[in-house]
Amino acid sequence: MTGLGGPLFPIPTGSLLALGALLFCIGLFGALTRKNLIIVLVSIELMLNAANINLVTFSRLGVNPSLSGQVFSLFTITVAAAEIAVGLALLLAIFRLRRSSEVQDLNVHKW
Amino acid sequence: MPNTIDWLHQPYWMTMGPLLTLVVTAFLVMVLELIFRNGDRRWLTGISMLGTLVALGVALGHFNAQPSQALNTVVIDAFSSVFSVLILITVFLVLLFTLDYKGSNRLAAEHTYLLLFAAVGALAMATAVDLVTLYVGLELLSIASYVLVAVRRKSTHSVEGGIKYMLMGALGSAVLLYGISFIYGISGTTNLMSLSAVAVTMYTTYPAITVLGFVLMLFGMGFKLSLVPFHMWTPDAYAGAPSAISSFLATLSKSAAFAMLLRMLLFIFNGVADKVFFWAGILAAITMVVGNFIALPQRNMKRLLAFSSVAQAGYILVPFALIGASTVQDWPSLFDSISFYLFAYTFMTVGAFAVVHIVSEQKHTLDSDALIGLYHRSPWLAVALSIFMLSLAGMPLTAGFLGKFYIFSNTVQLHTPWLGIVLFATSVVSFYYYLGWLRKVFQHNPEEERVAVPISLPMNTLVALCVVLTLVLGLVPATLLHPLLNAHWVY
Repeated sequence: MTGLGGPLFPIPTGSLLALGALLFCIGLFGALTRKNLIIVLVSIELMLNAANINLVTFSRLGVNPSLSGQVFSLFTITVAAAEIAVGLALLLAIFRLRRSSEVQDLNVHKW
Repeated sequence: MPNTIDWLHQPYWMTMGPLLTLVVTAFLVMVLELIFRNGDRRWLTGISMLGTLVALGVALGHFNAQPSQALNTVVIDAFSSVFSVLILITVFLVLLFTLDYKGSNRLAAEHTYLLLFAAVGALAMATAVDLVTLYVGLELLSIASYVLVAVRRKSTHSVEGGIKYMLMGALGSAVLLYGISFIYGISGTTNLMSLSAVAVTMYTTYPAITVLGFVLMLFGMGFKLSLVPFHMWTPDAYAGAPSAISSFLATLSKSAAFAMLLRMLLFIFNGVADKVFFWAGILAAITMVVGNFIALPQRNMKRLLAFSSVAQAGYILVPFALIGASTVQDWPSLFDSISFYLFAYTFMTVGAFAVVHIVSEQKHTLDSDALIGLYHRSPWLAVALSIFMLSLAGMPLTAGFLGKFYIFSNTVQLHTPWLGIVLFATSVVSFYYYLGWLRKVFQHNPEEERVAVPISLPMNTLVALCVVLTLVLGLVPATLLHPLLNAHWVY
């Protein structure tokens, strides 16, 4: 722990990575199984945030701690916001056309 | 603190030349679009094409330049030049394509600068050597593409295609980013040059995490490249989007994603290629088999082209798998195969989408029966479509054949014949559906009165350009191979 000042109480790296992995798995499960488009978008946000937790953890407690991890996570947060903005816009567009935001109503494309 | 004059004369302005030219054009077009709200605004596309040509000129000038880098982030080397040129040519062709949408059929005017911004993202993916920049470039391309697919927001097909693409794309980004976070964690840097220096140490210390990072990154990019089993959005997005945008998705975003994948994997995993790259081989084999077989029963022309593009992505992934079986001396030959195939694939795919667009606009249907009797309605389109189809299938004397031949000979040279055999066998399967179209084109339809197909000037130019480029690559491959062979690939 150098330069940035030590933590108030030590958190083992493993627990933080486990938190990230848990969030990622919950997000993946939600994105693949949920029926409502908004919940699917929320699940994808969870997955992106799992990556953010990893980046911030590694930037502090990784093999070679450096600031680039934190900078990277700032970029990711911004990009994720843009992605979700477009996602919600598309969701509104489909809701106006179909009066529904359920995944199973996305069915005009036939095999 | 450097003074202003020094700052202005930094060589990185030149290094980032194509990127900056395109950014300026995109913002200019965006502002002009806001100011001039009325009338036929296709002249904005003209300005975009002009900007693209200037950027293309700058990128071509980089071919013979010394390798250089700017701010540790953007480089010029043969790799970035080749892919920049490919990307800029593709953007030019797609912009030409969008000129055909006019009157009641016109696209929302935003498509012009969205295409340019997407191209900026693609250029960043081809030239950047930092994971942060690569990721931001990828997202710039992806987010612009989601909007472009749903550009007809009153059409359920278009918006539904866009939403499916957005969900799968965002999922892919999350998986990719999770993989990147592990690679950053065990190396402590996001710069690809520094990463390549610690590649071997990384693997010997943390073998499991390195492999996990590789697999997550490959799968994440697999969503963008529509590799099987991450391809389910592809037919819906391609069929829902306007044809010009479908051709853009099939070519530009694939070339850029392949460039980014190749650069990332090579720099991060160069020392341990033999231990991780077989994953790409498995994915390539599944993609080739499933993509070709699933295309067989398709009747919708754009869905068929979508599955054909899935299969073609499988062929291009084969050289990636071979990186694992090769030494550094073989890499330039693999890069040659990848870029030659991508060039050939771009021209024949854009051409095929153009012909499908013209035919479906006349017949108001996407069913492949619209092609019946095309030869009697427009011999020129029929011949052009035949050239594209034969090239996609891989008939000798076409660009597609040479591309496949180079990849096949690579598999034999590098003692991985099973991938070559899968490639060959699945190409034979693909003849069924490509030649199925040709049968319809030359079939006689006695009930139909022969109405000539109306072709606008931009579409005529586009089809002619694609035909010429496909034929040139097929008959005189040295025009492209010669510069590729002399290139110093990686900075």
